[in-house]
Amino acid sequence: MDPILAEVYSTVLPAAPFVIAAYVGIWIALFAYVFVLSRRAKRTREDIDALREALKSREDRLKE
Amino acid sequence: MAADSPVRASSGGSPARGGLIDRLTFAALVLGVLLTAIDVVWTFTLAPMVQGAELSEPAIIGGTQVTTKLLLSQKIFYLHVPVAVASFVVMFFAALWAVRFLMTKDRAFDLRSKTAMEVTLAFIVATMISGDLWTRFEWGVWWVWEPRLTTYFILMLLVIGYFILRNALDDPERRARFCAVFCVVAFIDAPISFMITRLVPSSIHPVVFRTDSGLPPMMLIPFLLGLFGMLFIAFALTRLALRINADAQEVEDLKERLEEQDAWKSRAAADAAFERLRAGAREAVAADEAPARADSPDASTTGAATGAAADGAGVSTTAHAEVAPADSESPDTHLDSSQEA
Repeated sequence: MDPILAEVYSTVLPAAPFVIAAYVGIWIALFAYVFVLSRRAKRTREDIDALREALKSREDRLKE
Repeated sequence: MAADSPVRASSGGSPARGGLIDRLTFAALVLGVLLTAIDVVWTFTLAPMVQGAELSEPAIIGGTQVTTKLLLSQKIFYLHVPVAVASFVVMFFAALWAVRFLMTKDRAFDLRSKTAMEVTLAFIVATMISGDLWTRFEWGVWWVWEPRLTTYFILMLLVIGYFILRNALDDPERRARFCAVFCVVAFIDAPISFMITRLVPSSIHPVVFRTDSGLPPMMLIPFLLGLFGMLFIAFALTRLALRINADAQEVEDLKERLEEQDAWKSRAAADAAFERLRAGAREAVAADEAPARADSPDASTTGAATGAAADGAGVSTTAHAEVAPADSESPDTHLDSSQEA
């Protein structure tokens, strides 16, 4: 490579991994939160199912 | 402010489903992702690179004379700053809802404040990651105790502290009140962190928001796209998280009520069993008294026997009376509890 061009881009190539990591890091942080939310939503759905079951068995006992 | 009034049950914590806000949330998410995607593409294709140190001699690249080195690392700015601004905006709403909670004692505002703090933490972590990578490349170190970095780090610690405080308190009323106050106090650091580069002129952190920034349109447009994109994403995330948190809290409340009902039911069964035991004991005492009366031969002995029996009964009665005050109120108490349930 032309030494002048090499000097021009001397700060570009070394910075590339940091720039890419910064952009990826931002999205990872946001997606991590979305993942936490999705797990919480799943657990809530499971709890709702368990409550529904508990209610049903309680009603059955009352009928008996 | 209703300082001593109890916390009211949520009147609007669970957002309406399928309404206008729901559609707006989805639209905001799509728009936010779209704007941010355009920002990223624009940043790496059309936005010019910032010039750094001067070259030993000028060079011609693509017909343009270049006299300085080109700084790719500056492109972190196009997403790092919007994410940081979004964290400040969401935290402002967290503090606003905390104040609303302190004014109204409505649990819905506590839930909103907590949710906004969660989103704030996600955006703060994203800001710290991207900022730290820029610091590492430009300044050669992972961390500098520079005013902007320090105040923002304190902000992150305060937000983490908010959740530690939240998990440390069991009583919902105290937890909501303490956390609301903590949230408002923590928010004071946000404007300080935002303004610190102006307040401390020796700060080496760049001042981004200023009237004379002189950003050319090709750099300003992607920055604004990223800014609005991140604000839309923050809004959508907050609404989504609010929906999930409201549902989770409702389920927790229902579980607690069910457990309380079970506890009352088992206590009522135990009280009934105890009452049966007491009735059995009374019958046994009465059965003991009856033969004593029947065995007495004359009035005087009858009187003595009656006295002895009375003494015995008195002992029993006394013993019973000693027990009675302790347990006499429990059936009523449990009854009241059951009626309340």
